[in-house]
Amino acid sequence: MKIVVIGGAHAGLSAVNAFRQVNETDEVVILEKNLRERPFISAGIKLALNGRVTSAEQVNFEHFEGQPNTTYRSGVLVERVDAAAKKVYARTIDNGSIIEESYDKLIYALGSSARVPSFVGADLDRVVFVKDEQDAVDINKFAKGFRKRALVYGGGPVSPELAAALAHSGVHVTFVTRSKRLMTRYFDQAIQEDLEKTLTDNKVVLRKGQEVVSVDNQGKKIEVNFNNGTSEVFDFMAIAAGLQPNTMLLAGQVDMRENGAIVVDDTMKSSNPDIYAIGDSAVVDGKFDQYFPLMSAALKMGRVAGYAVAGLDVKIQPILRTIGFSIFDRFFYKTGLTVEAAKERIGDHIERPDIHTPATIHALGEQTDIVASLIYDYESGIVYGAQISTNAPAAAEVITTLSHAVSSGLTVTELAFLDTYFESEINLPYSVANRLGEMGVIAEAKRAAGKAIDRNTVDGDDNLNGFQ
Amino acid sequence: MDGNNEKLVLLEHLRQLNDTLTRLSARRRRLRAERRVRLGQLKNTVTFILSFVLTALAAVLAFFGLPFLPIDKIIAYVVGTAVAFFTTLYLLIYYSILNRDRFSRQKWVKKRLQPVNTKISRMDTEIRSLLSASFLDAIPLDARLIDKQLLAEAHEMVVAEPEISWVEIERRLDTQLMLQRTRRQSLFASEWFRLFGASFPEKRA
Ligand SMILES: Cc1cc2nc3c(=O)[nH]c(=O)nc-3n(C[C@H](O)[C@H](O)[C@H](O)COP(=O)(O)OP(=O)(O)OC[C@H]3O[C@@H](n4cnc5c(N)ncnc54)[C@H](O)[C@@H]3O)c2cc1C
Repeated sequence: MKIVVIGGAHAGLSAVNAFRQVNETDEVVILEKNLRERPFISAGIKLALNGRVTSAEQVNFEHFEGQPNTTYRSGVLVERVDAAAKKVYARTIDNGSIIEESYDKLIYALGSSARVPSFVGADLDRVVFVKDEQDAVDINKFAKGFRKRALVYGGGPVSPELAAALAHSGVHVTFVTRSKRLMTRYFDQAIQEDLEKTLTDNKVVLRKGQEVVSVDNQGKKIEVNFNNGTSEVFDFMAIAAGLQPNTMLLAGQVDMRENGAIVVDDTMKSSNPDIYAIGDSAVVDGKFDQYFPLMSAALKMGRVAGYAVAGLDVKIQPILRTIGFSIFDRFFYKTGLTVEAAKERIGDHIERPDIHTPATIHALGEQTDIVASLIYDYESGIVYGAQISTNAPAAAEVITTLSHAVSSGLTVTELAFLDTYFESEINLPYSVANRLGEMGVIAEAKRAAGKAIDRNTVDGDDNLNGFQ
Repeated sequence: MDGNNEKLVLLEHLRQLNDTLTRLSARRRRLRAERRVRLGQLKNTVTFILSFVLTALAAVLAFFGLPFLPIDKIIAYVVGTAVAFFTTLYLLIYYSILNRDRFSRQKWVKKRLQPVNTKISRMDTEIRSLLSASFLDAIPLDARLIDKQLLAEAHEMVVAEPEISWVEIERRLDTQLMLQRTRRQSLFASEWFRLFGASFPEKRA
């Protein structure tokens, strides 16, 4: 059997490395456009701006391990896939020569690229995107200098992260987003407000509910015109308007969603049984199947495809779009659905209790807190999503517990009494995950008794002075 | 995949192709600007060094050595220094008036510009490859109509009238195009035409 993997980044290499764990003999060929064997991690862009590393490409994870019977061809641009003839055609990027590879199984891992918004001027030189190595170089170059002014455009997690990183490196940042609040597809009100406060407290100017109409060159700067009639001059603009799957090469050859993402089953197989699609190019058919490109998912999808092609009986678990990011020392996490998304998919009977609580025992010295929301169906009690913002790094475990609760379809009652640990310096004896479940239990008891439900709880002694 | 979804997916791919070309073309322009800056820096450096050497030679010629040297060596000394002086002067004038294009073709300059030149040529290959993407052959839309705004309108047409044919879509978009003659053409489309004489995108015969 010959396996051709197109796209040698995180998803592609995790498929190869998994396959090679259990199969050392079959031939594997990887075709990758870039010249490096350690794929670039987009998160490196902010880490470089934050000063955590000296350059973005220092950050990497999955890489080619040089296994036998495995060829890694870098600097090769894949141009065509002929699914009927089971052939891939590629071009060597330096001398233009054509390469032809036939396959028994194809693993498609060409990832995604940045979406370009449709306003006039998105193609100007001082308008940059946020995805790959060259973008990192461009952003760093524009951010250097005295009192630079940047406009960050976006609606997902990348844009606030970038805004914070730019502000950290001394740039005056304005953030523009089309919706009335920040990250409406990811968070509900309690966390949105906390996110907005974190940004404005750190001098990021917010332009909410505004659209960019056009961008014009103005000498060595750009003038940005907004739909409320105002305009402002910036040194550069960084756009993080989402990612789109690079799937043109399979156009018309396999089933795709309207946005072009290749639809795969839980073993990463597309509608053509010899073609597997993974990472940002694919979307898993199922209950939580919105297209949402994430590295954490790409690595799992890659491994599932690798083991499945090698003959193991493995399946991906529901991808709940669990994310985490940090800005100005505050961490934001979410898993599963927001209230709006849950109402669309499950029905109107969705409840959302919010809580503000210390994250640790404050008598130990650290004044940590957590703002958390739980999204559940009040008819069945099933938990569909959760969101957290905190300044306690260790609180990250709470979101993993909650993601597990969502993927196993736990009810609020089950969540309230789920086994969790306590370590006096790390968390609270009754975990925030349990506490969220308990709030659901109390709310439902009140609903059943016809009493008013308290949706906003503050825990701790004396206004968050903490548990002593 | 049903026919309607297939149309929408194809339109989406065209929109994405447009996005990718827009990004790559802006990046190509940025790289070319970087190349221009580097060329300028190299030229400045070389003229600065030559002027410095010239001044040093002039000083040597004027003041040093003469009183200490025996008379028979002075002639050789003066001739040698003068030759060096005029050679440097010639080089200085040569580099000062040399145009950018010819300057960039000098071997040592080429060597220093190689990293950015390689990046630009890789970018060209990638853009060319996208312009001749094989799936474009299967699309019954004319290349002129592969424009972001027009594609969005085509998308709306398919959503509103799922049975609409490609011929009808093309006819309506043509009318739109006539009405929008004055709209600014995307930079990459005009650039590509100017640089490579190719219409956007190249369709195979
Ligand atoms: C700024 C930013 C920050 C992010 N932060 C996080 C985070 O904190 N957590 C998280 O989970 N996710 C994060 N993500 C998402 C994450 O980066 C992606 O999900 C991940 O990169 C997907 O990996 P992939 O291998 O599927 O695709 P990609 O990383 O897009 O890789 C695709 C590969 O295919 C190659 N390729 C493309 N076209 C061709 C061709 N024609 N021929 C040959 N090779 C080709 C490319 O060179 C590339 O190496 C972030 C994304 C961005 C943009």
